[in-house]
Amino acid sequence: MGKALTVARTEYLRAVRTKGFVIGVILMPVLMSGGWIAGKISEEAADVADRRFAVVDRSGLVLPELVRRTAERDRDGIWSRDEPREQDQPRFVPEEYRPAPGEDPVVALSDRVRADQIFGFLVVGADVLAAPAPDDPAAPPDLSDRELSWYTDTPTYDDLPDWIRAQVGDLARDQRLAGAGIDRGLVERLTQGVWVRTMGLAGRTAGGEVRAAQESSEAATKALPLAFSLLLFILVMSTAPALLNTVLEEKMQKIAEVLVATVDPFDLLLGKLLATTGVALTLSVIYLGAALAFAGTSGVVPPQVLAAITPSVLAWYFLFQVMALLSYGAMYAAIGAACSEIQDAQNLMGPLMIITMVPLFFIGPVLSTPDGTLSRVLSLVPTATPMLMMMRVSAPPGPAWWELVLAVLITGGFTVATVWAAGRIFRVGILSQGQAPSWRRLVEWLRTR
Amino acid sequence: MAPTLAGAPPRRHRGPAAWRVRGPTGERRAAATIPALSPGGPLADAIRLSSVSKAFGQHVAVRDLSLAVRAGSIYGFIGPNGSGKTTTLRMILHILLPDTGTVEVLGQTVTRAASDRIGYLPEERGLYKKMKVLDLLVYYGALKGLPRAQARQAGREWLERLGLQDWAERKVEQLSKGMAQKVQFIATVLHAPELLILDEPFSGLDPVNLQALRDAILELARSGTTVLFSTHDMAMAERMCDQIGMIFRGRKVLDGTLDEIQRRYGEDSVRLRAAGARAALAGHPDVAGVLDMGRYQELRLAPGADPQALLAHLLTRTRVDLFEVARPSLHDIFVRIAGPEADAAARASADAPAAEAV
Repeated sequence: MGKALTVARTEYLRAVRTKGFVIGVILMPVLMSGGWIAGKISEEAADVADRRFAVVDRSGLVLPELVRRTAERDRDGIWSRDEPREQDQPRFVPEEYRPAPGEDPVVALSDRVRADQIFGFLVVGADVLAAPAPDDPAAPPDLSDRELSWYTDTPTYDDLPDWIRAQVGDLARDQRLAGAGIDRGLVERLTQGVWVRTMGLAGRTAGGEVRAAQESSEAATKALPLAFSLLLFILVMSTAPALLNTVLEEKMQKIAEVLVATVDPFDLLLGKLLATTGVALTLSVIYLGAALAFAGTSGVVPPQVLAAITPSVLAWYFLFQVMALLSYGAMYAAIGAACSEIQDAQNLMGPLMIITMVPLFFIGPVLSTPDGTLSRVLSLVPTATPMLMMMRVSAPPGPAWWELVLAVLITGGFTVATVWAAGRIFRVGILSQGQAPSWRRLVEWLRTR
Repeated sequence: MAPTLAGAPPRRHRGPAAWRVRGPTGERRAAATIPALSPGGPLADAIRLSSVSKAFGQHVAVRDLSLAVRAGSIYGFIGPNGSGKTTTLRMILHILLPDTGTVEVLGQTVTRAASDRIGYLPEERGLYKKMKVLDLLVYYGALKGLPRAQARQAGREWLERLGLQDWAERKVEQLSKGMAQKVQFIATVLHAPELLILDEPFSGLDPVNLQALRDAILELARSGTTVLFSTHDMAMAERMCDQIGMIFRGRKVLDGTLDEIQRRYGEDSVRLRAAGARAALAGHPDVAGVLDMGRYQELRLAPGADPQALLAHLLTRTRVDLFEVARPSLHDIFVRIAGPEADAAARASADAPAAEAV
């Protein structure tokens, strides 16, 4: 054990003293918030060039309203909310097109789109605002007069056709309600939806006083469990597979033989696992510490989130992370020891990567029904327990005590068995050279004396 | 007159050695002069292998090998590539366990019990390229049980001794091949091992580095360290070793002092330096084989051949600068046992008993 600690200490310091570690510490939050950053960048770099479009208005009623509403939008709808207000949306600029007698406007306007004179064009059906007649099966209506047709060679740009549809739809409702003599304001009031406020449960204090139920926070009940689970997953994925590379590198550079002449291979493996676990725990402390400090001082994080991060939740997080790193790390290290070439290692690594990622696929179902049968069963599968049980621990109502005990026993047993099996493979594989090992051979190595 | 190899330095004679042992608590201490090492006595043999075999699948790498290395001696372990040397060394180091037989190292048969008292230099060097030289030595020393401060001190002393003191804070990847080899050697001896196992310690070294390393090994041996090294350099083995063992196709085929081994083959060789010697000897019935050693040829005489008659024959045909009747060199013995002809014969009779054991 002493030698395992010597290996662990040296490998830990080698890992955390590198520039790569420091860069990784900074880079990971950047990558995790990549979506938000990309959104901000795209906002800053938004294309605000005018979107000119032609309108062939066969109803004679739509175009004047579109012109009026674009003027309103230009005044209120294309500017950022933050000061200083800057234009962050393009102007929509409609223009009327009257086809010459016998001219097909679609052909003529398509040419103008190709010539970049306009962005697209709209053909408004003659009866688009009229109330549809009751269905007559004997005489199906001609829908072409009741449709809007949007022509463009940039069909991926949705903002303009979406805006047009909303405006014309609104106009049609106004026309139809007015035609039927119904007050639109009355309709809106009568059809208003019902809100549901999600609350926690009321309780009693130790003194017997009733503690009122608090409004539930999505940040605390969904975002926080997701964050814990994803952090655990990301740290496993960013540290455990690296063990494969370091072990393979030691083998390829013949360092392994020097080491196993001095250290029992099992101690060597254990030292490496402890070092990797130490690195991941260090990262966890850095990230969780920074997140808690931010949450406590910034004022933007709901108080329910801080209240949900209890010492016991943190303790479960660290326990599950240690078990995940030991079991997954052992498997990756064993593959590294068994192979002599990176190509061989990649082939064996595929199934292991899938096993590592499977819990990720079940995040949604477990988060939506944390106490459902599927969630309960999956969170007791040892390869998935760290991620999914961690999610259940931090998402109300939380697992029953016996589920936690069972999860720790099963995953703990699995971790010990994995480390033991990996140690057997490691012992034989670390000095083996030559042909790529198969899964069958790995099983044989388990039984080798 | 005993035959000597022209140009070879005199062999080192080991008198009673100053002996270092570990005390009950593991500390090093100088002990009294060793009496003659008696077989079976305490620590008479630093290594003792008894009927050891090891197979990998269908391939038997080592077959019924028994071997004893006297404590305080230098033991040369020779054999062609793939003969089982490295497997044997790995069993001695308990990296591999034998299928049958027992391995006793420094009085220990328990797995790895003696590993901290052993220094091992593998054939293919293994150093962490990104680590600083001194940090690496401290790590290797710590793995052998040295306190870090002591390992650092010992590392500095060894680096200075081998002329690498300016490289202590440099990364290993900045070292030349020779320097890296010396660093690897330091990592092997840093903890003052009682047993030093060196697999091809001199391969790839220039003469200056080779000399430095050889001197260091000899000094360690003089201070009582048992040295077992494998080599393909027969001249080096002849010069350095008290005892030589050879393994061929997994079996031991030679074991003893150089004198014992050579005596076994008798004075059936002639060292000859003569102009046009090959042509002059072509087809001569007294010559069973010729080994070109560069500056001279080593002739193996046919059974019953008369060296004087051969000399007379040569003098009638060419000028003879050197004609020395001698025992065969280790190189010649090696080739006789493991050369292409012997190898073919061994393959033909794969199931037959070992070629020859001394």
